[in-house]
Amino acid sequence: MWILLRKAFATQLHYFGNYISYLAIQAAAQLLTLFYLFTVFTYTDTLNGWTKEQAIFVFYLATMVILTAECFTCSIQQYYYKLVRGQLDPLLILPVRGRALQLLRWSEPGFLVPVVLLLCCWPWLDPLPNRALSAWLGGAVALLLGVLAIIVVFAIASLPALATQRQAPADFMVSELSRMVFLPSSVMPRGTWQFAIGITLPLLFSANAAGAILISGDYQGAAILCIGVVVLSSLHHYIEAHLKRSFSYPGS
Amino acid sequence: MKMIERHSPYMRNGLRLLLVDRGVLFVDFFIATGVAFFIQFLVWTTIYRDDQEIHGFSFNELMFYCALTIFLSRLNNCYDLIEEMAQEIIDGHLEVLMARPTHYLAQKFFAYLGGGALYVVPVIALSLFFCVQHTPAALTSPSTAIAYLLIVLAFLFIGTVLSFCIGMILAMTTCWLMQADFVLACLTTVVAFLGGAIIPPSFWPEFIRPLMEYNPFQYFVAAPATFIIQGDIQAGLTALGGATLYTLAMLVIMRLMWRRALNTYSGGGG
Repeated sequence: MWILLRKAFATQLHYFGNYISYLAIQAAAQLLTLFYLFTVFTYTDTLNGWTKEQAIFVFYLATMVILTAECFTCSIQQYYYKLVRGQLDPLLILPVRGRALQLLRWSEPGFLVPVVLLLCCWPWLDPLPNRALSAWLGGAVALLLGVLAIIVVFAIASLPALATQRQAPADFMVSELSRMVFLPSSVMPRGTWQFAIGITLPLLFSANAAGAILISGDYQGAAILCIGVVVLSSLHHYIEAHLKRSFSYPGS
Repeated sequence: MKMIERHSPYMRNGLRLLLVDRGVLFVDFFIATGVAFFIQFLVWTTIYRDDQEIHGFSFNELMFYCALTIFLSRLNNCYDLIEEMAQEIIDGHLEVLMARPTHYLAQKFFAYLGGGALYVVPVIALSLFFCVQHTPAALTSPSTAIAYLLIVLAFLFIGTVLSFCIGMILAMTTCWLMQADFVLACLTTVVAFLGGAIIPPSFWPEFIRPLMEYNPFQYFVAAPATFIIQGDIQAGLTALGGATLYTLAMLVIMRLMWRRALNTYSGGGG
């Protein structure tokens, strides 16, 4: 697995211009979203009780979660690209597990570099740096679950390729849905709707669940996120196994 | 009429290309638009109080504005146009297409027109729904109602031509840059921001408002939506004039660039 990651990182650095321009565009898009957030706060002091600093902190978490997840979703995208063209067979004989191949072979670990840089900015952006250890741990777990949520939704959205032999627009779908990740939990629907959305589209809570724990000590969002990830992962496992049984690799 | 008939195969082809990829169409038509609208709904529903108005927009009007701009930006979305033309330039297919009895730019324009046909439906449906619910001031007398309708139609047509020209100009840069990835990535961000698809130009802070109100992108996204909602004939005509001037300027730039691009282009047969 380590070799797969090293190889993926070397490939990404080989196209250094692409890497830098992608990060520049992402940074510009994120700055515009941040500007939108600032503009919204010129019309109000709080978003359902969340201050500007707290909303910016959720936005900051969202940026890190999306970048981390993107490192692996790129690989899933390429995996299905190869699969529908019948170019996967030579790779399947590699002595690595199928899931590792899917997640790491074409991953873009270079995206973790800005994540590390962003992590260094934490002390300046955290509105409540003094919190209990349990909140720190809960927040970290919720962030990891957030990354997993995006990856799982991406993987599920890619599955139709096994049935149709055409690549599904999973990247387009997830990038559109990811635009909601920066919203603080205070503006998200509550009650039954929160459960329904959290279980069907857990990626919508991928940053604000951690934000809710770190800022207000609210674990409900994280619990729903966890249930959503477990449900969708099981569903993905079942559907993938079922479809793979009837799928004939074009080169096989 | 004869011209439309002659170019109708390109229009039909443009529409079919959109319909054949049902997965993308579904995501584009429902998820991409739904998410953008849902964000605005969730954020502004916490800010508006009762019958409050912000910069002349009530909550309902702002939601209609968001929905309209989302579909207008899809209608005038030149992403596929740039991607397709860039691929033709990279693969060296231009000369094959130029050998057809119709000018290459006309082929592209009519295919673009056909491709957008599907997105006119929600724009018209939303406009009708808004007019039934709110009855803009312009609809109170028959003469202003006709003017209102004509300006809306003119906005839709001029907007399509303007976005097409911008798309073609950006696509032609492939002759020099050899890749359209960077242009495409920038386009999505720039149109979403400058076009006014996020919030109306008047909602942005004072210092950036001139940029938001007079950039070319807002003339095919924000300006028509604002006109449909506020129904101010005078302001609509002024915005339409601005859009026409931008369109003429872009047409000239496109023609000039086309000659230079062809001189630079070295395709399979070049």
